[in-house]
Amino acid sequence: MKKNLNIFIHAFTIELRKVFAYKLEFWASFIFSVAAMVVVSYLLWQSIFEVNNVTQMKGYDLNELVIYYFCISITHKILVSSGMGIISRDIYYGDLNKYLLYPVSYQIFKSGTYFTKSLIYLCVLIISLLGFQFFLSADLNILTCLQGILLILSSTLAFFFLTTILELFAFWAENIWSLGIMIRSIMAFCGGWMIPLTFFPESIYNFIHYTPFPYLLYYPIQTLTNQPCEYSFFTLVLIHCFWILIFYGLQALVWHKGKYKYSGVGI
Amino acid sequence: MIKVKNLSKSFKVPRKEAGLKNAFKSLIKKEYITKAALNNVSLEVSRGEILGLVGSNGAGKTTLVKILSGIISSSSGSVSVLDFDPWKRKNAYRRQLSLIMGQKAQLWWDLPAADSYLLLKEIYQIENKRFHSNLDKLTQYLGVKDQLNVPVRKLSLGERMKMELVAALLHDPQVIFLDEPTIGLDIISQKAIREFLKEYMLEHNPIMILTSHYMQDIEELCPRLALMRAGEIIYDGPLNEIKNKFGDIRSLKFDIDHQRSGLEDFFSKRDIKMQCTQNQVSVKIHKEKLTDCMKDLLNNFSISNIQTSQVDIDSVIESYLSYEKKS
Repeated sequence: MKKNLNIFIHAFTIELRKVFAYKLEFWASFIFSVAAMVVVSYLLWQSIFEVNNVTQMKGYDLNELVIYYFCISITHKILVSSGMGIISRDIYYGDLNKYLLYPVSYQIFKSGTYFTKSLIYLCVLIISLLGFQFFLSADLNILTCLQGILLILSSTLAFFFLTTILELFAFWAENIWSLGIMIRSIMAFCGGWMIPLTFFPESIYNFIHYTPFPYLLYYPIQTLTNQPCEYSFFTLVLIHCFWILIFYGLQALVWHKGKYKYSGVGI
Repeated sequence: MIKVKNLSKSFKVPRKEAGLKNAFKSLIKKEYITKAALNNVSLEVSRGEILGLVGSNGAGKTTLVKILSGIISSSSGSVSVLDFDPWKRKNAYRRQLSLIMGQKAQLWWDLPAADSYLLLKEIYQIENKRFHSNLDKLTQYLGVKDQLNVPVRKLSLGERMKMELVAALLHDPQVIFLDEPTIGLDIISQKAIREFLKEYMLEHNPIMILTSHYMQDIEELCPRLALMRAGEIIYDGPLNEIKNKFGDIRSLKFDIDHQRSGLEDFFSKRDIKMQCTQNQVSVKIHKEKLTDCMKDLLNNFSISNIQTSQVDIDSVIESYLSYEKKS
């Protein structure tokens, strides 16, 4: 256990040093893109409110919607981390070979890599929340913020296993890029990234709750921003545990089947 | 000890016919062909031995190394390395193993090698004292101590390969697979790496399997040679034996200004393959036939600058492979 934790931390710090090695890329992806996101979401929702001549939409005022949209966009970035490819590239180009020779778990190694960008975005989110509290007079609460952050962390773990399942299909398929796009589009829709779930008609709203995505994205944000939430923090933790176990089990199964298909290209 | 018995491996490879119609057909149903990469291979390598694995591209050398290191599974047969089944990938086995791939970097490209070594220390659970002593010894010997904190991408190919060697040997592996360790390196770096491997072998006595297309690597490092062709081992024995068997071949070179067509007839009648570069002609010929052949050549053609020499190891192996093919 201690060894695995050390490997996780080392893989995490190695990835962190790689991120810091490219200054422009760091500022562009973690700071400028986030600043642009705030400005764009503010201008977009401001014009929607002005055109409709309303001060509230489905229970959200302008500030609340801007905060919601910003938080969910950053959380989406936290969940998808480095994007698709961290495992499938290893399979396609044979980089998996070196990991198979190491006396450590490949998944633990890769989770360290995956969580690096997630945690940088999480820091950006926390700093931004402080900014919202001061500049947009957001109605935030320390306890719900902490609960929201914990939920976002467990969502990231669940999403890491889900991504791993898709990426491991690289053992069979020659290109799995479209699978990643598909799952992210579904998450954007069902997780409330496009619009808050309360904006959907009731039938769609109910259907979406059979998928894991609202629990991984929408409800953690509702908790974080201290908005009304249908589920208590502990219920959401239990639901997260359920999905993490399902995704973990599936990725272990796919890995077990896929390793027989691996031909170790590249050497 | 490495023990391989009746090992076979086949891959299913997708088959795609040319043309739009067939591309569309492959969307519905994909066809596969089974390709045998290894066929009934048996082999034993003891501790302290370096085995040179030689063969042309596609002969099965790398597939064999991948199976021995546990990267891929075998289709049939048995494999045991240090009494472990490599495919089970037990940590106790992986801690004693190292694979050095000349064409594939193992170090993290964007970071200094020192960072990668610290990670390897954690991966292999190397105690502090042993780690620093090994790192000092290896970097000192290979002359890369000053480059430890330079990002790997900024190193020259030779320096990078030396860093790769350090990374592969930090944990004192008992089994070392070297896949083209000197590929793309200049002569001085190649020599330095060969010297280092010889020293390392003397000091640590591991099991080593070396695959290389550079015959100089094989000649200097491997007293034993396994020749592979089409997934089979066609020769396994001392390098000297194969050299003696085909060492009676001589290389004959000379210059000629004209009459080249007559020369082709001359050699083809004697079943000798001729190679020409501008005015120079070179042939390989058995030493017993050499004197007569030279006499005939001088009597019938206007030739100059005649040189004879013993053939190099590449030609010996080439002769063996073509001899086996014919027989």
